[in-house]
Amino acid sequence: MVKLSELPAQHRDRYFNAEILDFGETPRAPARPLSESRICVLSTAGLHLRGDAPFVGYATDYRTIPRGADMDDLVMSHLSTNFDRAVRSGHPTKWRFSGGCLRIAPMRHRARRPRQSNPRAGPARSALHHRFSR
Amino acid sequence: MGGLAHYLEEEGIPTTQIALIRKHAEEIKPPRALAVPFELGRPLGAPNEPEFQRRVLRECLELLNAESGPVLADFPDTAPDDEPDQEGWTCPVNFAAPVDDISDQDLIRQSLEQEIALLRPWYEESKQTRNGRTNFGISGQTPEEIAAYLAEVVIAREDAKSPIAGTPPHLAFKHMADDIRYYYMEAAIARPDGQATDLEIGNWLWGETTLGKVLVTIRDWAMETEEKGFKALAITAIVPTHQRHRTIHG
Repeated sequence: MVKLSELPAQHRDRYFNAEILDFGETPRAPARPLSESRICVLSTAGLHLRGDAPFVGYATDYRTIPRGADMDDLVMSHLSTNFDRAVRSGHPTKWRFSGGCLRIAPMRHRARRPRQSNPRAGPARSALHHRFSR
Repeated sequence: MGGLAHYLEEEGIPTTQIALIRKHAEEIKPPRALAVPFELGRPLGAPNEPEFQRRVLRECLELLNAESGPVLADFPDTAPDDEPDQEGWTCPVNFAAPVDDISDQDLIRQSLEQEIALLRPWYEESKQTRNGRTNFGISGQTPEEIAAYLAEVVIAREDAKSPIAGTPPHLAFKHMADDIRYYYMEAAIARPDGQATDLEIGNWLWGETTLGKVLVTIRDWAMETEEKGFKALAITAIVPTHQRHRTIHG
């Protein structure tokens, strides 16, 4: 892995000066206290269970990791050749989400309709969809 | 991820997130974000640092308590072990020089198989150290099957047949190349006596092994092929930027 500041200038500039879509005003759903909340983690790490189909480039799909899954059965696919300098030795500790603070849960939730839709979200959504479906 | 936060919040689901590139969060303005000064791809800071990871998660989740927004907070500390490693690293295995003749499929395969066999005890040791965790296994192929396919791609190029049913050759190649790189790298870090810098591992894999030479050769071909799948992988997805000086096209 590498810090943004350590990337070659060409790559750093590409990320730093990337065209950012206009998502408009920030919507804000009310949050309940954490102790009463059900938490779902979304990650772009490409993590999935070993038996799942690997991710491929430009993928817009997702895999769910069920509660109780063995963390040792997780793998990462669609690895970045440039950022996979992730290896270090000397850490025999088993990696896991720690404590009871957070567990990976299936992506299930009771969706509510937004109180007020964002009139500027349409174009951004279309642009995002266009970008991801190329 | 900031864009996703917009959509989820519009559906009534509160979100909070970690931002590795602060400028993106400033512009996308998700409702709650914690900017972190960590390496790209390490949103929790560092592997095998559960207490530190928990701190990052807590600070991120606590943004849900903010009464107004959007909120863009900064995590105050750098990741543990953020200093360059001082100790030297040597590969646990003494390899012969990479294969010279890159035009003989059998020689390439045999050389890869020899490296795989030499690394196997260290790969197993390394895996054992992590209680059985390994990132090898994405393709479903054994290291030897991967060696045979890579040797075939070097010689047969676009005519090499995908050994994975239903998966086109370039995707099969990507999954297998990822797999075998992780096999080598996990083996290389097996020895507990000294920390490896990322670049040391890269220089070893890409400069001193037949696998590195094979992947560089495939990249050299892929840069010039008209085969769409491999062509799409060629520029960024076969050889990392910091090792492209070993390729013809850079």
